[in-house]
Amino acid sequence: MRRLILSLVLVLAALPAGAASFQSIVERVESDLGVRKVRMPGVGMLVNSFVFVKRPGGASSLNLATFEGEMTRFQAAVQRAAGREWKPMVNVHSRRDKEDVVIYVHAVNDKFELLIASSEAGEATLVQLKLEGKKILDWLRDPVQMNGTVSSSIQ
Amino acid sequence: MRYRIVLALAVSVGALAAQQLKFTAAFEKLAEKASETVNVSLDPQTLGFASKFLSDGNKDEAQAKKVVSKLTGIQVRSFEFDKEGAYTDADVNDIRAQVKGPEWSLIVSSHSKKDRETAEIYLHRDGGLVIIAAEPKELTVVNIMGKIDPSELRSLGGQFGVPKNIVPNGATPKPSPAKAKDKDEEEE
Repeated sequence: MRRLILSLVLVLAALPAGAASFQSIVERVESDLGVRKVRMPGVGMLVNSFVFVKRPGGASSLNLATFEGEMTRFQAAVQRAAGREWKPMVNVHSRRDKEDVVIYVHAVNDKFELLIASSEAGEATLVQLKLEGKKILDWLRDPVQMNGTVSSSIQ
Repeated sequence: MRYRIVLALAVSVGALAAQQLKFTAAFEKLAEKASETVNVSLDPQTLGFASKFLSDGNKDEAQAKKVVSKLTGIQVRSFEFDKEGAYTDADVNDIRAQVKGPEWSLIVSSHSKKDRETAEIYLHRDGGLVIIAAEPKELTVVNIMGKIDPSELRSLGGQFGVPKNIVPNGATPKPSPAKAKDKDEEEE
């Protein structure tokens, strides 16, 4: 019996853990930094209608959370909250624009999900994009430009 | 049998680790002087998954797919500076020191006096590559792990975070000795 329990524990431990959901990442960041995401009633629906029509960056759906306040620990908090299943793919640090952007990637079946964490003084944004498989190639070709396309579309 | 498998695994893991550059803290500190820093890091899983979407019907994509299927990782560090002289040769020597061993060979060394650009391409005997591209206000280091033939390098330019003109104009990386040998044998 002990062997069976031990085997079960080992099997469960070996199973790949699912990637943290956007909601859980947002909640963990809120709790870690002691901030709340900015409430924007109706914006989610508006953004997703826009995404449905325009498909910025090849996204088929988009989640967005904005934070305000002291954001020096934002990137570290996102990395902790996202866990190992979200792999940092691109990291851009701009002293000129005083901005940090980290793009994480997670593959699910034939789709990719990207998590884009952008931060600057007093403000940070977390965006999750769901991409149809082939669209990831555009992101891998020029992630910085693709991120610029999505950012300007959201703004 | 099991011993052989374990040994083969250990050798392949060791070979890949040997191709991987370690970006030291001193080198990463260049980010403090740079106006913009871009780091790209692609692991075998992401590369493998992405390459599934490269079309066999498109000539360029098919070529890139063939190349990517043999790769196990890509790392890119790119720094852009506002002023010239923000980095020195000593900063790059951290990287050069890692490709000095007998398993590495310098296959391209290009220097443009006019544009003050230099490019060095180092090939690992197991197929990995390190590229150091330096301009007065820009420094890029690309580390491609796995098996890539230098003559196929151009097909990766502009993809997977690898800068578009990674192979300097006029420089033609030659096929690795192993591939050249295979070609000779095919011709015979």
